[in-house]
Parts: sequence; structure tokens; C-alpha cells
Amino acid sequence: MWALFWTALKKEWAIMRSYGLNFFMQFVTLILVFVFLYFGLGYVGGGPKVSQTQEGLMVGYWLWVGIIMSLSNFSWNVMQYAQQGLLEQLYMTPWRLRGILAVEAAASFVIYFLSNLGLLLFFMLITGRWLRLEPVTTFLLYVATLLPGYGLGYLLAGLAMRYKNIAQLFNVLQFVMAGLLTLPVDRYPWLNVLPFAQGVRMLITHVRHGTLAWQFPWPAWAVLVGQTLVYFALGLTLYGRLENAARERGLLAHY
Amino acid sequence: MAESWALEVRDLRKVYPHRPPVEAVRGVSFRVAEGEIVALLGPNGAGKTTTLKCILNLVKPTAGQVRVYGRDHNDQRFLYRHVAAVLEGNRNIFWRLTPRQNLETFAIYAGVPSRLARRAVERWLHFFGLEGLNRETRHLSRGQQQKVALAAALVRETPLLALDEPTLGLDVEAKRDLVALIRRLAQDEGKTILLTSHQMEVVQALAHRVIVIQNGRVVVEDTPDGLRQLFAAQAYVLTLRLPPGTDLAPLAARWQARLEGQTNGEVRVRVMLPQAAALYRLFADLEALGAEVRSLTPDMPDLEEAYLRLLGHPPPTARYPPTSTL
Repeated sequence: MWALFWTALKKEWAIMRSYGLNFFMQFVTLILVFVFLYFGLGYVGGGPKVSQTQEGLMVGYWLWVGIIMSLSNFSWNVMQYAQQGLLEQLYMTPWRLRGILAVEAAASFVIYFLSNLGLLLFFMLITGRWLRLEPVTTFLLYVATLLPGYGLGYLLAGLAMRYKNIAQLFNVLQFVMAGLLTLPVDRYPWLNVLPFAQGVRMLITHVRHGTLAWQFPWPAWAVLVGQTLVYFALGLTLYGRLENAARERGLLAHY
Repeated sequence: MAESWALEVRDLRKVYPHRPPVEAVRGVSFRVAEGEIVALLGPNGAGKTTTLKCILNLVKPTAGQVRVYGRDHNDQRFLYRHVAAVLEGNRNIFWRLTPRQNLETFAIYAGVPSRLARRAVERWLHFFGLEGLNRETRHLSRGQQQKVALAAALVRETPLLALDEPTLGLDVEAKRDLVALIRRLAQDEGKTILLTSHQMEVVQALAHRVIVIQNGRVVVEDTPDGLRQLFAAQAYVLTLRLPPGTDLAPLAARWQARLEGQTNGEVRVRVMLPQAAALYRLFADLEALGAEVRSLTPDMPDLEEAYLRLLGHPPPTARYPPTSTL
């Protein structure tokens, strides 16, 4: 299993390096958008609460970037594989396609997490606002918040396999994600059932009040972990059905 | 002693659930012995690629049974440890990786243990002469990419190899090169190969046995020579001496005659007969034209001609125009 993960990591890294300029431009764009949002908010926001909102923005934007990067990598990979006839090749392995996609997702997660940390450091450097982040708590919350995104990634992969061109759907989803990250869960607690909301709230709490992982009440963790597992399992199940439908119709290869 | 089968396909059927449903494979059965190269031949849409993909479990069969080395193909772990395939345009590799990176990735993804994978990568890079290529595969020639795809399948070290149109899109030299390598895979490496191809010269050069599929059914199963023999006695080359100005149009229309050559007042004409007995009628026609038959030899059609005739197409001959005279 380790050899498989290590190979996937090397492969993801080699491909990312091959798209080096594209990757760099993506980072520059993300930083520019952040600068406009952050300083724009400071300019129009005013009032005593603006600093708290800016903290929330920083954390929310950071998570959003993490989700979008992972998700786009996941579904982009599937679309590329479909175009290159690789889905069939990867299906013909003992791990099946879903296993290979999971390992590749884990490998790219490591790369994106590290590069995303760099991005957060850059945000803090630009704004001069240093967030109090404890590494273990941050990592746990980051992983738990992003995992439902992978469930969604599987769903997108299944849709790409069955219905092929889903680029437009992905574009729309980016905005839906942004919406999910900014839900007013404090006012409407039932919104916690939606993906990402609980994780964002807990991470912001950690940043603002220094609450560590083990200091959160257990129901908070239960909601977060439950949500993570449910959405991941749901994505995987729907993916399985779409993969079967694609095999039934002979669509695994065609794009 | 019972022959050991690498592959057994029994009454395989596939109906795609489109609107209306498409019956792509209608009861295909065949067997492939260990070490054999078997070619599936057929026109576009005949069902050969669907048959191949059903065998590989990439397309879910509607009915029938597929056994690979005695085990049902639904045991996918066993299946993919015994069969590797190169499909769909033959460039199903990671374009942004080098040949070596591709082979390493595919070997580990296929579950080959690391130590064996390293050895397999070196072996197949060497076999295909790819050791020195350190560029991303997207920058390589099509022939080189095809070799990488084939090597990426071979690093899995499976005994059975399925190849879908392995020489498609290659220039003459690259095609010849790849055909020689595929032949070596069977001869030297003991691989069993199931391939599909439109290219008759490739099938003729490689296959021990040919299975012709049309409309989702097996039309005939034979060796390439056997297939050619099937029609051998029906094609003849005649050397004729003809009166000046003879109109050959009636001959062309009735006997699918084709002019092969013309020297010293003699012409060589190739004719097709529905059966050998028709020779008498042909001679009667020639006599009516005032032609003198100098020689008559049976002509062996090439595989392409045999194949086209099998499928009921006219042979690829340049017929005389109706007004043609000599």
C-alpha cells in the first residue's frame, strides 16, 4: 500500500511540475483575488467587527482554495483519463478505478495541503495578521472539512464517466462551495448538516479563541466526523452506480 | 492430454441499453490456446472491440461465459493479474510522464511488488529500446508512444495480452517494427495474444488463427492460410491471345475479370468463379470472343480479398469499364 501511495505521489508531483507555469499562475490569481477581497472588505466594512470578519474571510478563503484545488484536481484527472483512455487501464488493476482514484487523491491532497500552507503564510504576510494556528488541530480540522469534498469529487468523477462533459457543472459548483463555506450556522444550526459548514465554524473558533482539537465538545466532533463520513460514503456509492452504468453502456473509454 | 486454454468465450452476448437497444454481440464463442496469437477480424461496428471489452470486463456482458485460465472473468483480481490490454488508440498512457515513469506507475498500480516491478521496468524498456527516452511521452513519435503503451501493459507480466488495433496510425516502418516485436512476444516470451485489427497484412503476419466477426457473430474461424485456401480455387489467372479490338466488357461483367498484364499480343486476365465447375462456362464465353487460352493457373487471394469475399463484398479489383477494348 505504501508503494502504491508513494508511486501516486511521485506521479502527481511529476505531472504538477509539468504544468508548472499553470500552477504558478493559479497561485498568483488566488493571491490577487484574496488581496481584493480582504482589503475591499476592510475598506467597505468599517466598524469594530471588521477584524473578526477578515479573520473569517482568511480562514474561509483558505479552506475554499483547498476544497476547490482538491476537487478540481480530482475531477480534472478523471476527465483527462477519460480523454486518454486511461480509465480503462486504471480499471484493470486489482484496486479497481475507485481505489486508484482514492490513492491519487490522497497523494495530491498531501501536495496541495503543503502548497496551501504556503499560500496561507503568504496571506498572513500580506495582511500582517498572524493567525494563531496549532498544527495538530489545524491539520485535523482541515482534513475533516475537506473529506466531504472528496465524496463530491467521486460523484463528479462518476458523472464525468457517465455523462462526459461536466465542466459547466464544476464551474457552478465552485460558487456553491463558496456559499456552503459562508453559511450562517450560528443562527441556523440545522445548516450544519450541509458539507463543510461545521468544519469552517470549528476552524474559525480555533483561530479566534485558540480552542484546541481536544477542547471542542464531543457533539461538535460527532457532527463533523459524521458529516464527513456520510458525504464521503454517499459520493462513493453514487460513483459506484455511475461506474456500473458506464460499464453497462460501454462508456468507460469514450469521451 | 487436454489442451490448456488461456481463454474460453462461450455464447457471449451484449445488448447496449440504448434507445433502441443495440445488439452488439450475438452469441460469440471461441477459445484461445496458450501461446497462440488469435486475431479478431471484422468491419467497423462488427462487435470485435465490444467482444474484447466484455472479455476484459470493461463492458458488462448481457449473457455468456468468459473463462481466463479456467477462472470466471468476474473474479477481477485473478483476471487482471492474468490479462493486460492496450486499447482505444493505443496511447492510453500518462502523456506528462516519461516512458520510465509510465512503466513504474503502471507496474505498481497493477499490484506488481516493488522489487519485481523495478526488474520488469528495465526489462521492457530494454525490449522496446526505450531506455534512452527521458522526455514526456507526449513529445514522442506515435510509434514510440505505442511502444510505451505496449510496454506499460507488459510490465504487469501477465501471460495473456489483448491488443486493440495495435498498429493503427503507424507509418510503414513503425508498423513493421511493432509487428516484429509483437511476434517476438509470442515466440520468445511465450505470451498468448488476442488482437483486433483492420490491417490484413498485420493479421497475416502475426495470427495463428483468425476469427471473423460480422454483425456480432462469428462468421468463420480458421488459420490465415486456411482462410485464403477457402477461396483459392475460385480465382484464376488466364493468359489469352485475343483478336484485335476485342471488347472485354462482357467478360468483366460476368466473371469479375481484371487485367493483370499485357505482353507480345497476349493478355493476362484474373477472373473470379463462383465454383470450379463454372470454368466450362468461362471457356465457352472466351470461345465466343475468339480468345485463345494459352495458360490457366489457380490464383491464391491475399487475406484481405478472402476476408472481403467472406463478408460478401466485391473483391477490390479495378474492373474494366464497360466500353473497354483491347
